[in-house]
Amino acid sequence: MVKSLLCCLSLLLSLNSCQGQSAPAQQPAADPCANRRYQDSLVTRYQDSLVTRYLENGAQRFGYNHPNWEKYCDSLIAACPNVAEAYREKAIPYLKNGDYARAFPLEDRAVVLDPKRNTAYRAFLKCIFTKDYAGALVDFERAEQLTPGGYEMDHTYWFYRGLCHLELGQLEQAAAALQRDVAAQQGGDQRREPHFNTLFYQGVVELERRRYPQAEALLTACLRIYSSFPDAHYYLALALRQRGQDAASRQHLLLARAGLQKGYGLNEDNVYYANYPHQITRYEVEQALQPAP
Amino acid sequence: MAGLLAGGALLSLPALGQRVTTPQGEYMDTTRRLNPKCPGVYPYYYSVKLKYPRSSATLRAEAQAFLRARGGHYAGSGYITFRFVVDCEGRPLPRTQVLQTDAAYQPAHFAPRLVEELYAFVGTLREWPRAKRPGSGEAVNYIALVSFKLTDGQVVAVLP
Repeated sequence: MVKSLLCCLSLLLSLNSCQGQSAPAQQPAADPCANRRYQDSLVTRYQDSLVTRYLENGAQRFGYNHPNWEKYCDSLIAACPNVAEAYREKAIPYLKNGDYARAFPLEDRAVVLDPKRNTAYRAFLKCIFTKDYAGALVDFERAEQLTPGGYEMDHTYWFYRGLCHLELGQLEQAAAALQRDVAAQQGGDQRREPHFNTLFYQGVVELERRRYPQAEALLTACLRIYSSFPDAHYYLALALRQRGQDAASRQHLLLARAGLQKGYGLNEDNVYYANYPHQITRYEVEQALQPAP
Repeated sequence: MAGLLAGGALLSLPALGQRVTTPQGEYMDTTRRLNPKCPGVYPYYYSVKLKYPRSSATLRAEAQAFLRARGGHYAGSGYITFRFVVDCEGRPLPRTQVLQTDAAYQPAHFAPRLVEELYAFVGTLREWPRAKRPGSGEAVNYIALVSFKLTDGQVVAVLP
């Protein structure tokens, strides 16, 4: 019922706009109402006004754990069931609060409605929030087809694909994906330094591949950019230990401990919601500092 | 039902999941027991920037070892999530919601024994950090969650 009323409202809005701008009868070709793109723009303007009303000036004033968040999202869905953003926003509290059965059908709906804008986001959620690495890879591959060279949460799709392969133990593919991430960041200029988290994960992959000198070089390069990064110190310590450099290894474990004590850590926006792959805590550092039995 | 026994010592045994279904969801324990020293504020763990102080890899290995030691063999893939409040002194409160999905995020149910064993494992986690309200520094309760990703009955990841 509500939907029907709003469809009528939308139609009236379109008709009014068309009447206001209609061209003289002798120039029918100039009539914007005959133009499909113009019709679409009216729908877009109407939808945008609802997004502003219900999300930007509505739900987002309260925060996603307030009951009004969902009410505003549902209002937008009732008015315009095809606005992907409404489903994506509605999913946020469920996702962050561990209710995946409610979160992911909403994310799926957002992907169906607007795959270009939402496929990579769902892939990111699977990679970082639910550790569904195989599912994330499927989505990232699709996202790359839809928006080649795209970014999600500050990183290329290749970055996340590297993390997924790493966690699945597909180390060659992880190394190749992260190299594609570096290439995308550098854009042909090899003097440009990659993101420190790319260097970090490249180092971890090399460590897992037991290519310790390469791991050491990459983690050292990472620490040149972010010198207090505890996780990089920790994995560098493991690489050095494998090469018999016990004193240097211990030094980096102590730096990892000091960094964690000062509040440093893996620097990503979503790290408060979910641990990133291979992220460590003080416990792992203390375990590594224990003398070998 | 469990509320009738609130405060009873039996309910603090972590392995005794009661698995009560209420209109609000499924619970391992519905006992509401509050610490009078703690204000009744319940932000989520991320609002106070706290998670259990172990890496996901360490928790996965510990959970898997715990299940192995109990000798169970399980099947099924998906997620089992426990949500509960950690009080302002770092103690988990007994009321615990359990949420389960299959690997495609559809509502599902794993073998009750597996759920109870994982709940028992969560009960072994005794180092929950204490939360302070940003700004005032006042000690507060917070809502924590521990989610197990399972593949063919094996714990392959622990979230968040």
